[in-house]
Amino acid sequence: MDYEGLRDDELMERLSGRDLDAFRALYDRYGDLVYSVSLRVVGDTHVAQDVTQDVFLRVWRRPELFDVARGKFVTWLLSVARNRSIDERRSQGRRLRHEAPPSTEEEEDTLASRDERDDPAVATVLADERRAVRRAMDVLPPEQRLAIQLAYFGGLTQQEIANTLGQPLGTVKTRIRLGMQKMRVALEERRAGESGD
Amino acid sequence: MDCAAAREDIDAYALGALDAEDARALEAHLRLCDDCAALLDRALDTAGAIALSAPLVAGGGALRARVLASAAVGEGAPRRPRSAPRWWAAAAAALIVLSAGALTWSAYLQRRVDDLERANDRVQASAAAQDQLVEIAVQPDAERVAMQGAGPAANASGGYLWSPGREVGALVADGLPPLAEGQAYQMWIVYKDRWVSGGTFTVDASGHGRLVVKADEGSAADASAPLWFCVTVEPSGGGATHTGPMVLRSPKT
Repeated sequence: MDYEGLRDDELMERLSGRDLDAFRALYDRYGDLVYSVSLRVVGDTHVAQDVTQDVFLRVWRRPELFDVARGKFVTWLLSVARNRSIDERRSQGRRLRHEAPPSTEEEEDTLASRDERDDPAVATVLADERRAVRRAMDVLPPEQRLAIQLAYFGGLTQQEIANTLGQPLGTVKTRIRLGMQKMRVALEERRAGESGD
Repeated sequence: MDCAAAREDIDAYALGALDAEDARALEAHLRLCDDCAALLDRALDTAGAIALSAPLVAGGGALRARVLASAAVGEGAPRRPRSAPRWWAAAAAALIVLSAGALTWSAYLQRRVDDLERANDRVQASAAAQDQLVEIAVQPDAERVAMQGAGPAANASGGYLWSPGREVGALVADGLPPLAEGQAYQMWIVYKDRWVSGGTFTVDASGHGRLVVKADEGSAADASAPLWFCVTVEPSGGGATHTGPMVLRSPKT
């Protein structure tokens, strides 16, 4: 069986039959992406590894949670990773405030991991999509991009972003709305161009 | 909630950035309005794509083996034990609590100032400015203080955020007026008996500027908590003392 040639939804169907080879193929396809999103949110390699393990075990144990009618598998998977990471970061924050800051070893480990960014060995994963999203974000005015990043990767509400940036709540709402509109137009135009090719 | 109000909130909802009350109101509307529900699907699609902007980092073979093994045995492999806090870390935590709301370049950091400078250099070298700022903001121990415009920039606003654990901070400023040639904005960390420079920055055409602040010898050696923060106009490159008008400041702590 050529698992690498199967679509995501086909692999997920096989997970219902406890097919470990299908699970391995999914991990090899998206493991680095899930880890990267988690690392972006939690900022700690050990915690990101724990989250990655939790996310994939959830996929293994409850494949029915993914509804193919609701969209692409990778979008759902990364959404699970992001939400799980934010939960873990909030939990870490509570522990930090009650216990202690991270140890020297953990900090050095985390910083070292940043040198691995855009590792050529993993840079081919969804390369076109990733490039398009980064391009769409790069053309946003910096204040709109920052508000969106603080919401998505920081898990902050609009009010928390306003407090963080010292800006009125209405200003932050406008930045998020305009930034998301611009991203949506850029990404949908790209898809329309692809389908027209 | 009507459609117009719902559409103001849909993108924030897709990002998870609405507060609970607004989210409940929007969800009630979405149950009744197919048009707005369709807009939410598009917003969720856009929000989901943002995950792909995260810098790609290899999880490594050890993580892969751990995940596959945990699935094979049907149980999660044991998560790493949390390291016990060291005496200095516990002391630092106490300092953080005592100085909540203020920059805490506390005494224990002094012993590690060389490591700190190297670490900050690596952080700055490894990510773009906006990534650095977000990285600081999302740290579990991130602290924040709002700053208001002053003097010739009464309409300016901003905020300073920092991570005691990461030992790095970032200033975000908006609405600052353009600078004359040969000038720069300089941030200051104000202690009881002296002002310590946090560095200089400029602003874009819209008056938006950012500065990543590294703990340096001067600030790390000061065991006392800073009283407040501000930004002044200075000659390019900054100076050892403040000479120009103040344009942004935090409340005194």
